[in-house]
Amino acid sequence: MEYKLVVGANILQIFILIFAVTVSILRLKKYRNSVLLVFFIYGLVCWLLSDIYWLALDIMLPNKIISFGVNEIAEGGLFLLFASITRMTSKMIIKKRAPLYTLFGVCYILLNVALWIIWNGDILKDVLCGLALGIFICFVLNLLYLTDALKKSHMIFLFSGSFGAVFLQYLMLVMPKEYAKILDLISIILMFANFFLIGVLGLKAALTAKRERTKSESLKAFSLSFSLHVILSCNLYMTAGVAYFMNFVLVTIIIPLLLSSVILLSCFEKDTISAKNAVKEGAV
Amino acid sequence: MIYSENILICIALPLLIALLFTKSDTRRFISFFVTGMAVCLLSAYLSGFFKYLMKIETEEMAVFYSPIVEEIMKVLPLLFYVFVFEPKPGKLFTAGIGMGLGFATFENCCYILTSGASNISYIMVRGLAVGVMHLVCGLVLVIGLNTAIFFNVLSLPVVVGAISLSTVFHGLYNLLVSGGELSSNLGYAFPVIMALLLFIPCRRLLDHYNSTV
Repeated sequence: MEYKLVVGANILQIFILIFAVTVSILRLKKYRNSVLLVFFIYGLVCWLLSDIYWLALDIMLPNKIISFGVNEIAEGGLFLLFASITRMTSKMIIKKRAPLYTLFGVCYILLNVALWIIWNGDILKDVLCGLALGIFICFVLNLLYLTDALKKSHMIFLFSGSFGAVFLQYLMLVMPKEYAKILDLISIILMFANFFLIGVLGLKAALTAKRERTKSESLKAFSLSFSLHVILSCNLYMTAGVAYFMNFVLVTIIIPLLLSSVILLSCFEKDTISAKNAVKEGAV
Repeated sequence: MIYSENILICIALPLLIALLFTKSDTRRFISFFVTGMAVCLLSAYLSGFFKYLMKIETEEMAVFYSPIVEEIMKVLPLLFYVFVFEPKPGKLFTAGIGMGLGFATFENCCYILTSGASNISYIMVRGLAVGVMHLVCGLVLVIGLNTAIFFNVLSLPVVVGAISLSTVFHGLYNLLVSGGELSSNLGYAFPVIMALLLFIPCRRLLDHYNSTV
Protein backbone atom coordinates (compact mmCIF):
# COMPACT_ATOMS: atom_id res chain seq x y z
CA MET A 1 0.00 0.00 0.00
CA GLU A 2 2.78 2.39 1.02
CA TYR A 3 4.76 1.45 -2.11
CA LYS A 4 1.76 2.20 -4.34
CA LEU A 5 1.23 5.54 -2.58
CA VAL A 6 4.85 6.61 -3.15
CA VAL A 7 4.74 5.54 -6.81
CA GLY A 8 1.43 7.44 -7.20
CA ALA A 9 2.96 10.53 -5.59
CA ASN A 10 5.95 10.22 -7.90
CA ILE A 11 3.72 10.09 -10.98
CA LEU A 12 1.80 13.14 -9.71
CA GLN A 13 5.10 14.99 -9.23
CA ILE A 14 6.15 14.07 -12.80
CA PHE A 15 2.92 15.55 -14.20
CA ILE A 16 3.26 18.74 -12.15
CA LEU A 17 6.88 19.09 -13.27
CA ILE A 18 5.87 18.67 -16.93
CA PHE A 19 3.26 21.38 -16.39
CA ALA A 20 5.82 23.68 -14.72
CA VAL A 21 8.38 23.14 -17.50
CA THR A 22 5.74 23.90 -20.16
CA VAL A 23 4.57 27.09 -18.42
CA SER A 24 8.19 28.24 -17.92
CA ILE A 25 9.02 27.66 -21.60
CA LEU A 26 5.92 29.62 -22.64
CA ARG A 27 6.94 32.44 -20.25
CA LEU A 28 10.43 32.42 -21.72
CA LYS A 29 8.91 33.68 -24.97
CA LYS A 30 7.85 36.84 -23.13
CA TYR A 31 11.04 37.34 -21.08
CA ARG A 32 13.58 36.15 -23.63
CA ASN A 33 16.66 37.31 -21.74
CA SER A 34 15.64 35.94 -18.36
CA VAL A 35 18.61 33.97 -17.05
CA LEU A 36 16.60 32.98 -13.95
CA LEU A 37 13.89 31.40 -16.03
CA VAL A 38 16.40 29.57 -18.27
CA PHE A 39 18.24 27.97 -15.34
CA PHE A 40 14.97 27.31 -13.54
CA ILE A 41 13.80 25.31 -16.58
CA TYR A 42 17.14 23.50 -16.59
CA GLY A 43 16.70 22.61 -12.91
CA LEU A 44 13.12 21.46 -13.43
CA VAL A 45 14.11 19.21 -16.34
CA CYS A 46 16.85 17.74 -14.14
CA TRP A 47 14.26 17.08 -11.43
CA LEU A 48 11.82 15.60 -13.96
CA LEU A 49 14.39 13.20 -15.46
CA SER A 50 15.52 12.20 -11.97
CA ASP A 51 11.91 11.37 -11.04
CA ILE A 52 11.39 9.38 -14.25
CA TYR A 53 14.65 7.49 -13.60
CA TRP A 54 13.61 6.70 -10.03
CA LEU A 55 10.16 5.53 -11.21
CA ALA A 56 11.66 3.35 -13.97
CA LEU A 57 14.17 1.84 -11.53
CA ASP A 58 11.45 1.22 -8.97
CA ILE A 59 9.19 -0.54 -11.47
CA MET A 60 11.90 -2.49 -13.33
CA LEU A 61 14.17 -3.45 -10.43
CA PRO A 62 12.20 -2.95 -7.18
CA ASN A 63 14.75 -4.70 -4.95
CA LYS A 64 17.87 -3.22 -6.52
CA ILE A 65 20.06 -1.10 -4.25
CA ILE A 66 22.62 1.09 -6.01
CA SER A 67 25.38 2.67 -3.96
CA PHE A 68 25.50 5.81 -6.09
CA GLY A 69 22.82 6.19 -8.71
CA VAL A 70 22.32 8.58 -11.59
CA ASN A 71 19.23 10.04 -9.89
CA GLU A 72 21.40 11.14 -6.96
CA ILE A 73 23.63 13.01 -9.39
CA ALA A 74 20.54 14.64 -10.88
CA GLU A 75 19.36 15.59 -7.40
CA GLY A 76 22.75 17.18 -6.69
CA GLY A 77 22.57 18.95 -10.05
CA LEU A 78 19.12 20.27 -9.21
CA PHE A 79 20.36 21.72 -5.90
CA LEU A 80 23.34 23.32 -7.61
CA LEU A 81 21.24 24.80 -10.42
CA PHE A 82 18.76 26.21 -7.89
CA ALA A 83 21.73 27.48 -5.86
CA SER A 84 22.99 29.30 -8.98
CA ILE A 85 19.57 30.93 -9.45
CA THR A 86 19.58 32.02 -5.80
CA ARG A 87 23.10 33.43 -6.17
CA MET A 88 22.12 35.33 -9.33
CA THR A 89 19.14 36.76 -7.47
CA SER A 90 21.27 37.87 -4.50
CA LYS A 91 23.41 39.82 -6.99
CA MET A 92 20.29 41.89 -7.78
CA ILE A 93 20.45 43.38 -4.27
CA ILE A 94 23.10 45.88 -3.27
CA LYS A 95 23.68 44.98 0.36
CA LYS A 96 26.41 43.38 2.44
CA ARG A 97 26.34 39.61 2.79
CA ALA A 98 25.75 37.78 6.07
CA PRO A 99 28.69 35.53 7.03
CA LEU A 100 26.94 34.41 10.24
CA TYR A 101 24.02 32.98 8.27
CA THR A 102 26.45 31.11 6.01
CA LEU A 103 28.12 29.70 9.11
CA PHE A 104 24.75 28.47 10.37
CA GLY A 105 24.15 26.84 6.99
CA VAL A 106 27.54 25.10 7.02
CA CYS A 107 27.02 23.81 10.59
CA TYR A 108 23.53 22.58 9.77
CA ILE A 109 24.60 20.63 6.68
CA LEU A 110 27.63 19.15 8.45
CA LEU A 111 25.38 17.85 11.22
CA ASN A 112 22.98 16.46 8.62
CA VAL A 113 25.69 14.72 6.57
CA ALA A 114 27.15 13.12 9.71
CA LEU A 115 23.68 11.83 10.57
CA TRP A 116 23.13 10.37 7.08
CA ILE A 117 26.52 8.63 7.23
CA ILE A 118 25.64 7.13 10.63
CA TRP A 119 22.33 5.89 9.20
CA ASN A 120 23.47 4.27 5.95
CA GLY A 121 27.28 4.37 5.95
CA ASP A 122 27.51 5.49 2.31
CA ILE A 123 30.18 8.18 2.73
CA LEU A 124 30.77 9.20 -0.93
CA LYS A 125 27.08 9.53 -1.77
CA ASP A 126 26.23 11.41 1.43
CA VAL A 127 29.17 13.80 1.19
CA LEU A 128 28.47 14.68 -2.47
CA CYS A 129 24.71 15.15 -1.92
CA GLY A 130 25.44 17.08 1.27
CA LEU A 131 27.89 19.35 -0.52
CA ALA A 132 25.34 20.27 -3.19
CA LEU A 133 22.55 20.77 -0.65
CA GLY A 134 24.94 22.73 1.60
CA ILE A 135 25.78 25.20 -1.16
CA PHE A 136 22.06 25.64 -1.83
CA ILE A 137 21.31 26.16 1.89
CA CYS A 138 24.06 28.80 2.28
CA PHE A 139 22.88 30.78 -0.76
CA VAL A 140 19.24 30.60 0.34
CA LEU A 141 20.09 31.77 3.89
CA ASN A 142 22.11 34.62 2.44
CA LEU A 143 19.19 35.60 0.22
CA LEU A 144 16.77 35.43 3.15
CA TYR A 145 18.99 37.94 4.96
CA LEU A 146 19.42 40.20 1.93
CA THR A 147 15.69 40.39 1.16
CA ASP A 148 14.62 40.85 4.80
CA ALA A 149 11.98 38.23 4.12
CA LEU A 150 11.93 37.01 7.72
CA LYS A 151 11.70 38.94 10.96
CA LYS A 152 14.30 38.24 13.63
CA SER A 153 11.80 36.20 15.67
CA HIS A 154 10.91 34.09 12.61
CA MET A 155 14.59 33.52 11.91
CA ILE A 156 15.21 32.38 15.51
CA PHE A 157 12.20 30.02 15.22
CA LEU A 158 13.54 28.64 11.92
CA PHE A 159 17.05 28.06 13.22
CA SER A 160 15.96 26.56 16.55
CA GLY A 161 13.43 24.32 14.79
CA SER A 162 15.95 23.07 12.24
CA PHE A 163 18.78 22.50 14.70
CA GLY A 164 16.34 21.11 17.29
CA ALA A 165 15.06 18.48 14.84
CA VAL A 166 18.61 17.37 13.98
CA PHE A 167 19.60 17.33 17.66
CA LEU A 168 16.61 15.09 18.48
CA GLN A 169 17.60 12.71 15.69
CA TYR A 170 21.07 12.46 17.28
CA LEU A 171 19.50 11.89 20.69
CA MET A 172 17.45 9.03 19.23
CA LEU A 173 20.67 7.17 18.47
CA VAL A 174 21.56 6.85 22.13
CA MET A 175 18.10 6.65 23.74
CA PRO A 176 16.13 3.43 24.38
CA LYS A 177 13.49 2.52 21.76
CA GLU A 178 10.41 3.67 23.74
CA TYR A 179 11.88 7.19 24.10
CA ALA A 180 13.20 7.21 20.54
CA LYS A 181 9.66 7.06 19.13
CA ILE A 182 8.60 10.13 21.11
CA LEU A 183 11.75 12.01 20.13
CA ASP A 184 11.14 11.12 16.46
CA LEU A 185 7.58 12.46 16.72
CA ILE A 186 8.77 15.75 18.28
CA SER A 187 11.48 16.04 15.61
CA ILE A 188 8.88 15.56 12.84
CA ILE A 189 6.60 18.16 14.47
CA LEU A 190 9.51 20.65 14.51
CA MET A 191 10.21 19.97 10.82
CA PHE A 192 6.58 20.54 9.87
CA ALA A 193 6.34 23.63 12.10
CA ASN A 194 9.22 25.14 10.11
CA PHE A 195 7.50 24.22 6.87
CA PHE A 196 4.22 25.82 7.91
CA LEU A 197 5.89 29.04 9.12
CA ILE A 198 7.84 29.56 5.89
CA GLY A 199 4.96 28.19 3.80
CA VAL A 200 2.44 30.70 5.16
CA LEU A 201 4.87 33.60 4.84
CA GLY A 202 5.89 32.50 1.35
CA LEU A 203 2.31 32.21 0.15
CA LYS A 204 1.49 35.61 1.65
CA ALA A 205 4.54 37.19 -0.02
CA ALA A 206 3.69 35.59 -3.37
CA LEU A 207 0.11 36.91 -3.23
CA THR A 208 1.33 40.40 -2.24
CA ALA A 209 3.94 40.35 -5.02
CA LYS A 210 1.29 39.34 -7.55
CA ARG A 211 -1.02 42.15 -6.38
CA GLU A 212 1.53 44.94 -5.98
CA ARG A 213 4.06 43.88 -8.64
CA THR A 214 6.99 45.35 -6.75
CA LYS A 215 10.56 44.12 -6.91
CA SER A 216 11.05 43.87 -3.13
CA GLU A 217 7.93 41.73 -2.65
CA SER A 218 8.90 39.51 -5.59
CA LEU A 219 12.35 39.03 -4.05
CA LYS A 220 10.76 38.10 -0.71
CA ALA A 221 8.43 35.60 -2.40
CA PHE A 222 11.37 34.12 -4.30
CA SER A 223 13.59 33.72 -1.25
CA LEU A 224 10.79 32.23 0.86
CA SER A 225 9.67 29.74 -1.78
CA PHE A 226 13.24 28.52 -2.32
CA SER A 227 13.68 28.29 1.47
CA LEU A 228 10.62 26.05 1.51
CA HIS A 229 12.27 23.82 -1.05
CA VAL A 230 15.43 23.64 1.07
CA ILE A 231 13.46 22.80 4.24
CA LEU A 232 11.48 20.06 2.53
CA SER A 233 14.60 18.58 0.91
CA CYS A 234 16.29 18.34 4.31
CA ASN A 235 13.12 16.88 5.83
CA LEU A 236 12.96 14.27 3.06
CA TYR A 237 16.45 13.07 3.90
CA MET A 238 15.63 12.89 7.61
CA THR A 239 12.30 11.08 7.54
CA ALA A 240 10.92 7.66 6.64
CA GLY A 241 7.49 6.05 6.17
CA VAL A 242 4.43 8.29 6.46
CA ALA A 243 6.43 11.45 7.27
CA TYR A 244 8.56 10.89 4.15
CA PHE A 245 5.44 10.46 2.04
CA MET A 246 3.93 13.67 3.46
CA ASN A 247 7.13 15.60 2.73
CA PHE A 248 7.20 14.18 -0.78
CA VAL A 249 3.65 15.39 -1.42
CA LEU A 250 4.49 18.81 0.04
CA VAL A 251 7.52 19.15 -2.26
CA THR A 252 5.17 18.46 -5.17
CA ILE A 253 2.69 21.06 -3.93
CA ILE A 254 5.30 23.82 -3.69
CA ILE A 255 6.42 23.46 -7.34
CA PRO A 256 3.75 25.95 -8.56
CA LEU A 257 4.87 28.35 -5.80
CA LEU A 258 8.50 28.11 -6.99
CA LEU A 259 7.33 28.64 -10.57
CA SER A 260 5.23 31.70 -9.76
CA SER A 261 8.00 33.29 -7.69
CA VAL A 262 10.54 32.85 -10.51
CA ILE A 263 8.09 34.27 -13.07
CA LEU A 264 7.27 37.24 -10.82
CA LEU A 265 10.96 38.01 -10.35
CA SER A 266 11.89 37.59 -14.00
CA CYS A 267 9.75 40.70 -14.75
CA PHE A 268 12.33 42.80 -12.85
CA GLU A 269 15.45 41.13 -14.23
CA LYS A 270 15.64 43.43 -17.24
CA ASP A 271 15.56 46.56 -15.02
CA THR A 272 18.41 45.20 -12.90
CA ILE A 273 20.55 44.36 -15.94
CA SER A 274 19.96 47.82 -17.46
CA ALA A 275 20.75 49.50 -14.13
CA LYS A 276 23.95 47.46 -13.76
CA ASN A 277 25.05 48.38 -17.29
CA ALA A 278 24.32 52.04 -16.55
CA VAL A 279 26.48 51.88 -13.42
CA LYS A 280 29.27 50.20 -15.40
CA GLU A 281 29.12 52.91 -18.07
CA GLY A 282 29.26 55.62 -15.41
CA ALA A 283 25.82 57.03 -16.12
CA VAL A 284 24.76 56.92 -12.47
CA MET B 1 38.90 -9.35 -28.46
CA ILE B 2 39.25 -6.20 -30.55
CA TYR B 3 42.13 -3.75 -30.66
CA SER B 4 40.21 -0.52 -29.99
CA GLU B 5 43.36 1.63 -29.92
CA ASN B 6 44.20 0.47 -33.46
CA ILE B 7 40.65 1.25 -34.63
CA LEU B 8 40.97 4.73 -33.15
CA ILE B 9 44.28 5.33 -34.94
CA CYS B 10 42.81 4.07 -38.21
CA ILE B 11 39.79 6.39 -38.10
CA ALA B 12 41.50 9.38 -36.52
CA LEU B 13 44.59 9.67 -38.75
CA PRO B 14 42.86 10.80 -41.98
CA LEU B 15 40.68 13.14 -39.96
CA LEU B 16 43.72 14.70 -38.30
CA ILE B 17 45.40 15.20 -41.69
CA ALA B 18 42.15 16.72 -42.97
CA LEU B 19 42.55 19.40 -40.28
CA LEU B 20 45.38 20.91 -42.34
CA PHE B 21 43.01 21.64 -45.20
CA THR B 22 40.01 22.94 -43.29
CA LYS B 23 39.09 26.13 -41.47
CA SER B 24 36.76 27.55 -38.79
CA ASP B 25 33.60 25.47 -38.13
CA THR B 26 34.70 22.43 -40.17
CA ARG B 27 38.06 22.32 -38.37
CA ARG B 28 36.31 22.70 -35.02
CA PHE B 29 33.90 19.88 -35.87
CA ILE B 30 36.66 17.49 -36.97
CA SER B 31 38.82 18.28 -33.92
CA PHE B 32 35.98 17.53 -31.54
CA PHE B 33 34.93 14.46 -33.53
CA VAL B 34 38.40 12.99 -33.00
CA THR B 35 38.41 14.14 -29.36
CA GLY B 36 35.03 12.42 -28.89
CA MET B 37 36.49 9.14 -30.16
CA ALA B 38 39.51 9.45 -27.85
CA VAL B 39 37.20 10.28 -24.94
CA CYS B 40 35.18 7.13 -25.70
CA LEU B 41 38.32 4.99 -25.44
CA LEU B 42 39.43 6.69 -22.22
CA SER B 43 35.95 6.28 -20.72
CA ALA B 44 36.09 2.55 -21.50
CA TYR B 45 39.45 2.32 -19.69
CA LEU B 46 38.08 4.22 -16.70
CA SER B 47 34.86 2.19 -16.57
CA GLY B 48 36.96 -0.99 -16.56
CA PHE B 49 39.07 0.41 -13.74
CA PHE B 50 36.01 1.33 -11.65
CA LYS B 51 34.42 -2.06 -12.34
CA TYR B 52 37.53 -3.70 -10.89
CA LEU B 53 37.65 -1.24 -7.99
CA MET B 54 33.97 -1.61 -7.05
CA LYS B 55 33.92 -5.36 -7.72
CA ILE B 56 30.70 -5.29 -9.75
CA GLU B 57 29.40 -7.11 -12.85
CA THR B 58 29.98 -5.70 -16.36
CA GLU B 59 26.24 -5.22 -16.96
CA GLU B 60 25.74 -3.36 -13.68
CA MET B 61 28.67 -1.12 -14.51
CA ALA B 62 27.32 -0.43 -18.02
CA VAL B 63 23.77 0.33 -16.87
CA PHE B 64 24.32 2.28 -13.65
CA TYR B 65 27.81 3.76 -13.53
CA SER B 66 29.15 4.15 -17.10
CA PRO B 67 26.85 7.14 -17.83
CA ILE B 68 28.48 9.02 -14.94
CA VAL B 69 32.02 8.29 -16.17
CA GLU B 70 31.22 8.98 -19.84
CA GLU B 71 29.41 12.27 -19.31
CA ILE B 72 32.10 13.64 -16.98
CA MET B 73 34.75 12.65 -19.53
CA LYS B 74 32.76 14.30 -22.34
CA VAL B 75 32.47 17.63 -20.56
CA LEU B 76 36.21 17.94 -19.77
CA PRO B 77 37.39 18.78 -23.34
CA LEU B 78 34.44 21.14 -23.75
CA LEU B 79 35.40 22.94 -20.52
CA PHE B 80 39.01 23.14 -21.68
CA TYR B 81 37.80 24.71 -24.93
CA VAL B 82 35.55 27.15 -23.06
CA PHE B 83 38.18 28.31 -20.56
CA VAL B 84 41.23 28.37 -22.85
CA PHE B 85 39.78 29.57 -26.18
CA GLU B 86 36.78 31.52 -24.80
CA PRO B 87 34.51 30.80 -27.80
CA LYS B 88 31.41 32.82 -28.63
CA PRO B 89 28.21 31.07 -27.45
CA GLY B 90 27.14 29.80 -30.90
CA LYS B 91 30.54 28.22 -31.66
CA LEU B 92 30.23 25.73 -28.82
CA PHE B 93 27.34 23.98 -30.58
CA THR B 94 29.64 22.66 -33.32
CA ALA B 95 32.08 21.42 -30.65
CA GLY B 96 29.38 19.64 -28.63
CA ILE B 97 27.81 18.00 -31.66
CA GLY B 98 31.25 16.86 -32.91
CA MET B 99 32.08 15.46 -29.49
CA GLY B 100 28.81 13.50 -29.21
CA LEU B 101 29.02 12.13 -32.75
CA GLY B 102 32.69 11.15 -32.42
CA PHE B 103 31.91 9.29 -29.20
CA ALA B 104 28.92 7.51 -30.76
CA THR B 105 30.78 6.61 -33.97
CA PHE B 106 33.74 5.05 -32.17
CA GLU B 107 31.48 3.14 -29.76
CA ASN B 108 29.41 1.84 -32.69
CA CYS B 109 32.53 0.80 -34.61
CA CYS B 110 33.80 -1.23 -31.66
CA TYR B 111 30.42 -2.84 -30.98
CA ILE B 112 29.91 -3.76 -34.64
CA LEU B 113 33.38 -5.30 -34.82
CA THR B 114 32.60 -7.35 -31.72
CA SER B 115 29.05 -8.48 -32.57
CA GLY B 116 29.03 -8.33 -36.38
CA ALA B 117 26.88 -6.25 -38.74
CA SER B 118 24.59 -8.92 -40.20
CA ASN B 119 21.49 -8.10 -38.13
CA ILE B 120 19.83 -4.99 -39.59
CA SER B 121 17.58 -4.37 -36.55
CA TYR B 122 20.65 -4.35 -34.28
CA ILE B 123 22.36 -1.92 -36.66
CA MET B 124 19.29 0.35 -36.61
CA VAL B 125 19.29 0.32 -32.80
CA ARG B 126 23.00 1.17 -32.67
CA GLY B 127 22.57 3.96 -35.21
CA LEU B 128 19.28 5.54 -34.25
CA ALA B 129 19.21 4.92 -30.50
CA VAL B 130 22.77 4.88 -29.15
CA GLY B 131 24.14 7.25 -31.80
CA VAL B 132 21.39 9.81 -31.31
CA MET B 133 21.60 9.41 -27.52
CA HIS B 134 25.22 10.57 -27.47
CA LEU B 135 24.34 13.45 -29.80
CA VAL B 136 21.52 14.55 -27.48
CA CYS B 137 23.82 14.27 -24.43
CA GLY B 138 26.36 16.51 -26.19
CA LEU B 139 23.60 18.98 -27.06
CA VAL B 140 22.32 19.05 -23.49
CA LEU B 141 25.83 19.81 -22.19
CA VAL B 142 26.36 22.50 -24.79
CA ILE B 143 23.02 24.23 -24.19
CA GLY B 144 23.88 24.51 -20.49
CA LEU B 145 27.40 25.82 -21.05
CA ASN B 146 26.29 28.13 -23.88
CA THR B 147 23.56 29.70 -21.78
CA ALA B 148 26.00 30.24 -18.91
CA ILE B 149 28.55 31.88 -21.25
CA PHE B 150 25.87 34.01 -22.89
CA PHE B 151 24.59 35.37 -19.59
CA ASN B 152 28.11 35.55 -18.11
CA VAL B 153 27.23 33.23 -15.23
CA LEU B 154 29.57 30.31 -15.93
CA SER B 155 30.35 28.74 -12.57
CA LEU B 156 30.95 25.31 -11.02
CA PRO B 157 27.30 24.78 -9.98
CA VAL B 158 26.12 25.50 -13.53
CA VAL B 159 28.68 23.11 -15.04
CA VAL B 160 27.77 20.35 -12.56
CA GLY B 161 24.10 21.02 -13.29
CA ALA B 162 24.72 20.56 -17.02
CA ILE B 163 26.68 17.33 -16.42
CA SER B 164 23.97 15.97 -14.15
CA LEU B 165 21.28 16.61 -16.75
CA SER B 166 23.17 14.78 -19.50
CA THR B 167 24.10 11.99 -17.06
CA VAL B 168 20.52 11.35 -15.97
CA PHE B 169 19.38 11.32 -19.61
CA HIS B 170 22.13 8.82 -20.50
CA GLY B 171 21.41 6.73 -17.37
CA LEU B 172 17.69 6.65 -18.09
CA TYR B 173 18.33 5.40 -21.64
CA ASN B 174 20.68 2.66 -20.37
CA LEU B 175 18.20 1.61 -17.69
CA LEU B 176 15.26 1.42 -20.10
CA VAL B 177 17.12 -0.62 -22.74
CA SER B 178 18.39 -3.05 -20.10
CA GLY B 179 14.81 -4.13 -19.22
CA GLY B 180 12.12 -6.17 -21.00
CA GLU B 181 10.70 -5.65 -24.49
CA LEU B 182 8.38 -2.76 -23.64
CA SER B 183 10.96 -0.76 -21.71
CA SER B 184 13.64 -1.50 -24.36
CA ASN B 185 11.40 -0.16 -27.13
CA LEU B 186 10.66 2.91 -25.01
CA GLY B 187 14.38 3.33 -24.46
CA TYR B 188 15.19 3.07 -28.18
CA ALA B 189 12.56 5.71 -28.99
CA PHE B 190 13.66 8.03 -26.15
CA PRO B 191 16.75 9.63 -27.83
CA VAL B 192 14.93 10.25 -31.10
CA ILE B 193 12.02 11.89 -29.25
CA MET B 194 14.45 14.06 -27.29
CA ALA B 195 16.31 15.01 -30.48
CA LEU B 196 13.00 16.07 -32.08
CA LEU B 197 12.05 18.03 -28.93
CA LEU B 198 15.43 19.78 -28.91
CA PHE B 199 15.38 20.62 -32.62
CA ILE B 200 13.34 23.85 -32.46
CA PRO B 201 14.88 25.22 -29.20
CA CYS B 202 18.40 24.60 -30.56
CA ARG B 203 17.67 26.38 -33.86
CA ARG B 204 16.13 29.31 -31.99
CA LEU B 205 19.00 29.49 -29.52
CA LEU B 206 21.54 29.52 -32.35
CA ASP B 207 19.61 32.28 -34.16
CA HIS B 208 19.35 34.20 -30.88
CA TYR B 209 23.10 33.96 -30.21
CA ASN B 210 23.97 34.88 -33.79
CA SER B 211 21.69 37.92 -33.73
CA THR B 212 22.87 39.12 -30.30
CA VAL B 213 26.62 38.45 -30.40
